[in-house]
Amino acid sequence: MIKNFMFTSESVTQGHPDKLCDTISDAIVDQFLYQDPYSRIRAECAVSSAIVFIAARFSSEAKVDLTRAARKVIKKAGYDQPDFNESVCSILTAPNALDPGRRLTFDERSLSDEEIEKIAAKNQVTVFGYACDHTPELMPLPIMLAHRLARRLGEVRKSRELPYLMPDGRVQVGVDFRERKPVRIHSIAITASQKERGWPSMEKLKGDVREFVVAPVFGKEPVAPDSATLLFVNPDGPYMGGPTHHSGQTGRKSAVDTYGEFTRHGGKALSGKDPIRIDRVGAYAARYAAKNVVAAGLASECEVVLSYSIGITRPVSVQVQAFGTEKIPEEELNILVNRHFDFRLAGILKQFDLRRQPFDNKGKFFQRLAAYGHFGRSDMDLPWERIDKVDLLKG
Amino acid sequence: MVLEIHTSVKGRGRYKVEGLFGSEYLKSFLELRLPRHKGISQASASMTTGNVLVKFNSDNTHQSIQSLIQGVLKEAEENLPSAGEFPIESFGKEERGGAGIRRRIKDLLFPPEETPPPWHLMESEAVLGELSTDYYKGLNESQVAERLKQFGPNTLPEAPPRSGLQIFLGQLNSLPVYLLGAAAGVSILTGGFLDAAIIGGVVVANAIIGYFTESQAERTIHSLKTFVRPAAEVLRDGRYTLASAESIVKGDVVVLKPGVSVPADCRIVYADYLNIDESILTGESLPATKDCIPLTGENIAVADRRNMAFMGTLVTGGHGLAVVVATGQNTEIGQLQMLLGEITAPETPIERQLSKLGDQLVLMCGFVCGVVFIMGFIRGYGILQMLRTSISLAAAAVPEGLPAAATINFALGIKRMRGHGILIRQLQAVETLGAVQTVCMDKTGTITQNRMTVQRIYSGHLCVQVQNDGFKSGARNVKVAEFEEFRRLFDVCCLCSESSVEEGGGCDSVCGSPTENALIRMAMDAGIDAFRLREENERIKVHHRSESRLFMSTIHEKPDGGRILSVKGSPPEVLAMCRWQVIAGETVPLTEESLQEIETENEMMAGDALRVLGFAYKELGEDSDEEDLIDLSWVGIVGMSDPIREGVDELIRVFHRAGIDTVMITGDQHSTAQAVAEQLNIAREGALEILDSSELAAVDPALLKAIAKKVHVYSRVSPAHKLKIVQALQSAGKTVGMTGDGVNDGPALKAADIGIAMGKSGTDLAREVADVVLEQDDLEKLVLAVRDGRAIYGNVRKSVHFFLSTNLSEIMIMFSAMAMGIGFPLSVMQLLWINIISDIFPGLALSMEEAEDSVMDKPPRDPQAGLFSRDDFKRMSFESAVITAGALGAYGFGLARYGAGARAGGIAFQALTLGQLLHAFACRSDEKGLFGKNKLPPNRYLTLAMAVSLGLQALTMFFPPLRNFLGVSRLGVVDALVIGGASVLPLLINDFTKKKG
Repeated sequence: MIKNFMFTSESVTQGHPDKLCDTISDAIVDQFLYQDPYSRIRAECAVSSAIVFIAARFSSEAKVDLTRAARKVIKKAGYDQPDFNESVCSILTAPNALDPGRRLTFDERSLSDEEIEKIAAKNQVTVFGYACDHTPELMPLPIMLAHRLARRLGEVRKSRELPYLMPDGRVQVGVDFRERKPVRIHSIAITASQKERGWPSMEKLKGDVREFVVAPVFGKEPVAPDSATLLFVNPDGPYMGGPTHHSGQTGRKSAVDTYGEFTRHGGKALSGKDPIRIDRVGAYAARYAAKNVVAAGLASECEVVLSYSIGITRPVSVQVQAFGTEKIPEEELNILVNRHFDFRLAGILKQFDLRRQPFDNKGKFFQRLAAYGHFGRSDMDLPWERIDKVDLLKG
Repeated sequence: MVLEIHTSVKGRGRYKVEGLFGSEYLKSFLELRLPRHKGISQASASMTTGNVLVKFNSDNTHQSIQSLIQGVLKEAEENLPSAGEFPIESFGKEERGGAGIRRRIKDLLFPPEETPPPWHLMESEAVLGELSTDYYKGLNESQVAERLKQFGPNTLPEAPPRSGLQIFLGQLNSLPVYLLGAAAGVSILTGGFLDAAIIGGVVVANAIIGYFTESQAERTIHSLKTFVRPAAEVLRDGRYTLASAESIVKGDVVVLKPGVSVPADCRIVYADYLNIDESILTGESLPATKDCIPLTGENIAVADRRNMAFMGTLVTGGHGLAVVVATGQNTEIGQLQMLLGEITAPETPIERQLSKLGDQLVLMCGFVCGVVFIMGFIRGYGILQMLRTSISLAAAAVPEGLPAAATINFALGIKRMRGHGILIRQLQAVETLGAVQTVCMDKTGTITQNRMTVQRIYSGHLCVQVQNDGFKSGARNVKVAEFEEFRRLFDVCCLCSESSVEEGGGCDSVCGSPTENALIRMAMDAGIDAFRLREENERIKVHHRSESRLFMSTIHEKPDGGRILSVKGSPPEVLAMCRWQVIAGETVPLTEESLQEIETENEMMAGDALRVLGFAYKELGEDSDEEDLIDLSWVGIVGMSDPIREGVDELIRVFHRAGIDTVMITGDQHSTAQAVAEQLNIAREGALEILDSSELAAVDPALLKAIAKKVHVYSRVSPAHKLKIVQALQSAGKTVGMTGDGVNDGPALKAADIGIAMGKSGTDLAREVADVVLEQDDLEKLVLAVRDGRAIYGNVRKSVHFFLSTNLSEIMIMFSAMAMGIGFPLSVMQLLWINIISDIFPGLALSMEEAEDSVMDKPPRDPQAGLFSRDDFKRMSFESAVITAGALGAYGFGLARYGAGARAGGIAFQALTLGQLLHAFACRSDEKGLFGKNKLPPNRYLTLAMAVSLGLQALTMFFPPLRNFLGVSRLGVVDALVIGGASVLPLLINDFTKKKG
């Protein structure tokens, strides 16, 4: 295995058109589950120029105004330009209401183990979970830095520290690794869209970004930019972002949602799916297991791979890998993970109470996940980020 | 430089003249000097287009006129008072210094009032002064009377209805009649005076029938225009009165407000956000914003005269006052109409198609008859005989009155629809109705009844159902007036409202819009004295809901001092302005949780197809009328139902079966629209697609065009944007029907292929621009209209099909007999007889066919396709060939049995005539046969026509004088059997080979 390398991960702001679509999709999921936790909903979204396209297929008792959910997201993302804002944009919806009788109305909270065993997976899918000890959140450093910078880029616009910015932005962070440990920041590329092409000048923008975005993020970081770190701000010249300039679509940023390509991840969209979809919640369960393994000190890097098959409740295979960092043999890790983690669909729902999270979180749960990653979130109390199985694993 | 623009009409030409654009001087000069030349009868020049239209006699050619104009131009240049001072192009530029000189030239050329001063350059006061009128008083009655006498009524030139004599003479002015005339002439020359008299009789009989049908059609067409009598509000003797548009004169001060069709050209003297749709003049689809500031500059195009309002344009927003500066023919639109020369009634596409088809057939017949003539000549028949035969064959074969067949059909259709309460305002609409591919419908008032009743209230944390017997939460009755938040809600309902309430009156005394009425009635039901409440809290200010501000707000003076601001409107918009809410009598901050709950409740109500409104208020300090709508207190939402009209779901099903797409347009929020659309299954089998947009104008037209093909519902759309929808659908190649009743619907109704206005609830404007008016506002009638439109189109086809196939058989039989060298099966007289008997009555009867039941089971026809396809023509030729074969067979039998002569000819004549008559039965349907389950119900007109025709035909056998006259000899039983077989068999063959549906 190559141990010395440079690795780049990317994150985007909430206002990036792709993320805008992810957020709208998840806001719709939230709305449905808020009103009816048993809702089945699949929402997909695309945005181009001033039109948002939403296709939603659902069976639910809930009555959801797809456009309102979308307009709220657009407003919250900070779009207030005359050519694209929550009231000027047009929304084309294709609501496809299916019979509410198709819902799965079991209450997982009161299901017995036998009953959980009877609820099989409905998709053929392999999902990945990962954790490593780069950061306190047990996430790969490049993606975490990218998220932090992207979030900060959004904040300075909202706080009007850099009022000339548009909500659309992208951050790429390249990190040098020695012995598979991050040692320095090689480069940072930030694309910050601005409202006016001529203002501010490239020099001022670069200076502002360095001062208001980069510097605060790296304040307390052990690995911070040094004098040789390259900083690119709008390398292609002034950038006018937003849906009027480039289009977006749900599920196109799955690397941003997961581990920044530092490890394997599913190519499918996480956003816009209700928790019955094993490709979404399976990824959460896999991360939960991997994170607990690392937190328990059994390895400093861990990947959990689950393969589900239609009609079978438990994953057909559970693979745990530690890439040579394991403190106990990988076979034992496998046994421990299998013993202590419930990877059955209803089991995951019960453990994380996923169908009721939107209600418990005032209608805003999945949509908050849509931007800045589904994993390693310190701003949310995510059930799959808990390290409550550490003691069991240490046994 | 003079360029020819339009010179295809003989004796009339339009020329582009350099320098004429914007030059009054040149205009006057050309109009005055050109008619002085011999041979030019009339010349009109336009400063707006830079064109001059010249009418001239046959001594002149377009070239000679062109050089004449050039000569006059040169003269004009030389005659310029001081050429150096103002060249032609900048004539309008000099304002003060040149005014005197200009007036002098004008006086030289024309009496002063003929050329208008440039009103748009003058100050408002100067305009008022010039026209001796008054801003506050307007004109007085005697001034009006005097000016009306001087300038005439304010009407545009119209095509005068044709007189009876004109219509009658029109019947004679056609190619077939010329042919008949020629035949008569030849007859006279050859001594056949009787022949000539008979042919004359044929011509007169044809003309009489044509006269009756056409004059009836003419009456119907002219009656189309009369049922909207435009009126305008004018200031006369200091009072606003309603005057008919005709009586408006120069100097009248007219009121411009939304929905008004500007009655004459005016100079605006007061404008408050005045917007006018001038597409009729300028083609610009967006309304123009108007003001009353004088313009400066030269050559200002009509479209840029911001302070002018032009006759025929529509006020779409704001209001204003304007002084009439030109009326009738002198208005821009009047001038335009003169230029276009478009004062004849327009032909519909079918009529155009038919006259083209007719012309082609005349050529074809001429050619075939020529061939027959030459063949006969070669075979040694006398030239004279061949000439008479050929000419009468041509006269019989040429299908006269093809366009008339369509006109009559349309006129009958219009009358029939009027009986159903469907008023057709354009002849063409009848035809277009049958081709409609997409129908766009308003939700409120069209799909729904626009009768609002309050169903649910959510206030505080309480959701209350409103039922007949009171306010209920679950099964429990609730005394809602005891809750502070409900009382507040009811107060806002009563105060923030335009409905009027009578003192002491019950719920019936509320008068206003359905929504506001429902809200006030709800408050009254809860025990609120709406009248007293409104008396005590005097309204100081009101801000209406508009397209960019989806809520209404009012400010009231409270009895105990201080003021109160009431707001009602779209829940999300109102909610966005709130910071507080009233819960259990306490005003508390509006939390995230509450916000989520309120939004969910709103979505639930909207999802149940309710129209939802949100309510809020704010206490203001004394004398405060702040417009800053922030920190309001939320009091609740109210959901109202607007029941779907009976029969609309059936209507939509019928449209879908008929292959017509349905589109719903509504200002309601997405969820309400979605619920109604799902209820009505407006998306057919496909997935429902909804475009939610309050800013359709911002959508890229190319994108909208692509989207419009799929969208079934437009939500949150304002009426002004309906035009965009129509245009997008049309650019996607659809024939679009659009309903409307409001002022803002005008442009969309006009742009739609079929604009459908509501007769009762609609505004005058909507009715005026629509093609179809539904008298009782019943959309279900639209099905009848479409059905009739399709049936009429089908009947035109049936009549023409009959005319063509029978006439073709006459040509075929004469041609084949001649080619085979077996003499003349038909004599001249017989040919002419067939022309009257077999053509006219069955053809007319076919246009009275009832609609086939399958007419609404088929997709709409392709509006681009012709009346008949190539396959149709092939089929008609086949049918003619079958009829011909029958008659030829009978002729052959006659020849074999009796030898060449009158007897054989008589058999052929009877066989052909009967065969043609019976063919009418085959023409009744393209797909239904004579026998079996699917056969058509009888058409009594056809039965009658058939009885008359057969009776007449029987006379040729049994009435000796007629028999002799036609040269038919007595027939034996065997002959009769052969004739019967030869005429019935073709019908059976044609029926059997029909592609049955």
